[in-house]
Amino acid sequence: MKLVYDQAKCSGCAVCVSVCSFCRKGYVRPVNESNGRIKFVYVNPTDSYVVVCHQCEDAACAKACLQEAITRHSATGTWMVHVEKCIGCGLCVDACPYGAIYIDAENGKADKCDLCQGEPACVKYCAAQALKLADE
Amino acid sequence: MVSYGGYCGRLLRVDLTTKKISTEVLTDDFIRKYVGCNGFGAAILFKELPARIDPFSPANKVVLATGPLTGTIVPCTPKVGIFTKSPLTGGFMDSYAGGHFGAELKFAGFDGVIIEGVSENPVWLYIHDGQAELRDAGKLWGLSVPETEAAVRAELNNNAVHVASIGPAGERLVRFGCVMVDMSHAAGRGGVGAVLGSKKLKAIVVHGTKYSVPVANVEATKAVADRIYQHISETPALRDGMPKYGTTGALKANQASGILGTRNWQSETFEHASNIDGDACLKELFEKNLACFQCPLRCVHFSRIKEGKYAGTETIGPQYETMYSLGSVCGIADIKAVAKANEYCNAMGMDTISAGVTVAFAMELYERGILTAEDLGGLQLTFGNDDALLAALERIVTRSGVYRTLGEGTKRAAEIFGGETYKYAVHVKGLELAGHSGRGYKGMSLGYATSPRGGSHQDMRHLPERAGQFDRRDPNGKAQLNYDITSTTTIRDTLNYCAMIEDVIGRVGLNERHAELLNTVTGLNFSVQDVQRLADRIWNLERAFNVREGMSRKDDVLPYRFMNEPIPEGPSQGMHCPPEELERMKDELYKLRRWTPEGIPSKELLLDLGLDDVAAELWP
Ligand code: SF4
Ligand code: SF4
Ligand code: SF4
Repeated sequence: MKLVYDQAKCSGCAVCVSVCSFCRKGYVRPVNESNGRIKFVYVNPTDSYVVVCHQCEDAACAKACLQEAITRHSATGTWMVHVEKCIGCGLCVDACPYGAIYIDAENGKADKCDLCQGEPACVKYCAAQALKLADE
Repeated sequence: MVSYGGYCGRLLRVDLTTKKISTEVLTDDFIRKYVGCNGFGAAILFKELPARIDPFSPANKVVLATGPLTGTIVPCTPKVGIFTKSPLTGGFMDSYAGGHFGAELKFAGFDGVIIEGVSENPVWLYIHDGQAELRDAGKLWGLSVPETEAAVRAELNNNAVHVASIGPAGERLVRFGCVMVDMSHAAGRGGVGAVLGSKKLKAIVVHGTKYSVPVANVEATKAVADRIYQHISETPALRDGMPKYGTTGALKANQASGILGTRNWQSETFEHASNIDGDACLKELFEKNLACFQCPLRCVHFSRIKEGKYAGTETIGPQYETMYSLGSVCGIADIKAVAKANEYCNAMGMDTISAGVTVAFAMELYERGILTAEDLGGLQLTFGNDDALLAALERIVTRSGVYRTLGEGTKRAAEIFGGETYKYAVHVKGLELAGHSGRGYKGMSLGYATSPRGGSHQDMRHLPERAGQFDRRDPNGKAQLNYDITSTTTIRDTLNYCAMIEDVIGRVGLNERHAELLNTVTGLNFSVQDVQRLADRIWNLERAFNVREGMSRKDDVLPYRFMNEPIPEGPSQGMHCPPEELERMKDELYKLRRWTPEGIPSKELLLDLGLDDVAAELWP
């Protein structure tokens, strides 16, 4: 499974980032913070966009990790960080071509989208249906 | 630290005269008493402004404030309120803009900003992560709103900032100069942009990466938000209607009822309505849906004109009010011309409602021979002449000739032109009327006459009458309806959710949902009665502000036309609001509100509401 994003449908509401943050942390993360599981990038009122993890077949983040802390989840096929193995070195952050993985400011470990274990909140709340869940 | 959720806990104070910038801590007492946004704005302005100052003097202040829901996951809560003494009405003005600015201000660490004094040279204010600085705006002065935004982004080398700025209209003190947020969302009404212009403050730019807004009860807030999302997804008018049409659907509805302001309200049906309605927008203009922060309704539309006379026009909008003010009220029958005029007003930072109604006023004076083409600098300012409309708007901004007078708004212009011109000036207290009939709905007649803002449609609301929930032709019971609706709109502007979800929370009278929304985010534990008291406190504070400026019963009137000229034709033919009828409704309302027959909040009422300082000033 992976997220598919369609900028033509996106209204720039930032609901996706807000619910992602709130569901996990209980507050809305400032939308311009450079880290987050899904990112909202404001360019101007008509051209803002969001950045999502592509759950790459050949994941650069996982390859770059010397601790082998990023592995594929068997059921959903998403790449996940094993926090106990992660040493927060940031090699994955440098490796990801999309800027979709980051170091969580609270625990100093890598963090990325895990597709909410198969029921992504961002997809659920995106009224514009700019975010969808695709199989494969 | 404040003990309530929903706040950063700090206000920023910027003195433009001394360039001193300081932060003030919000106190629990202040929060309990005023809760947010318009409560904060009204309290600060009443306390800090001396009576009877010139709105353009250094003594005037501009307050920006957010509500406790802004920056949380409660949907449709993006707004920032801007408060000042209005250069149009001379009274209390609150004007609200969507976009991302409100939430970003909180993410930058502030619930609001107080701007005072006047700068010698043009400046802009940069607020970021708990700090603020004034920067030189010498090179920005004179730029349009989009140019201003581009310039500050370039200077900061950061696209992610959100900008509230004024255009040349505000700089040149056009009295309906507005503040534009993120280029496209207007804090439109009452000339808040002109006041910033008088202070030489070109823009306020916010960027927040650190602060977030705590809520009192995370699970309950999620449940409340979920219920709103669910309501939206189960209501076709919100789920499908808003993204498709936004507010543009109102034009067709008002035309069908014969209450669409046309040719300076000489008529309320427009024979070309179908050329400028929501379907015309879909066909000719709309390209993409946009939305404010945290809003699933995405009622905003990006429009682009590809061919014809107005090819190349790119604007966000028009929405209903603009289709009325730059469309039917000026007799314009081409939606592309409306879009072009909308693009121009947004770029210049000019309220489309006041601008359009003012040009319509001049059009009527021209057609009646009171203003000649020579007076008008050669323009044949006839209804329906789109070229003349655009040229007139440009000259209002450049403030040339008779257009300098028009830039003072219809009330002052009529005073300057003299004679019978007051009969054609469609304003209340100096604020040009919005696009919801002042004579086709009895509730709106009373609402416009008594709104603290003047001719605004955002205090009294027309929808319950339009939907047939209340008889729009019957003056009886409209005082109670006014009380019930203005209580909910006051709380809407305090918690600061968007008018588009009023119906989800409750439009007529305060209820458990208003209290729940407030309590889950803040933890204040207000009963419905407490929320009613809050609404009464804020409404009376706004009223008291106006009373202190010298306003009373005599100012609670409608435009001459609405009191004296029945609607001439169409489904609402014959309707108007004669003075005797208006006075009767006012008597009822004043009694209900515990105001004196002169329309002054009684001393007992003010003391009951905990407004002892206000009582002391009004009843020395
Ligand atoms: S919720 Fe959907 S429409 Fe809104 S910003 Fe995210 S992807 Fe775009
Ligand atoms: S974090 Fe980046 S590299 Fe890793 S799977 Fe996602 S998009 Fe691919
Ligand atoms: S799928 Fe879940 S974790 Fe990933 S961005 Fe969306 S809400 Fe966040």
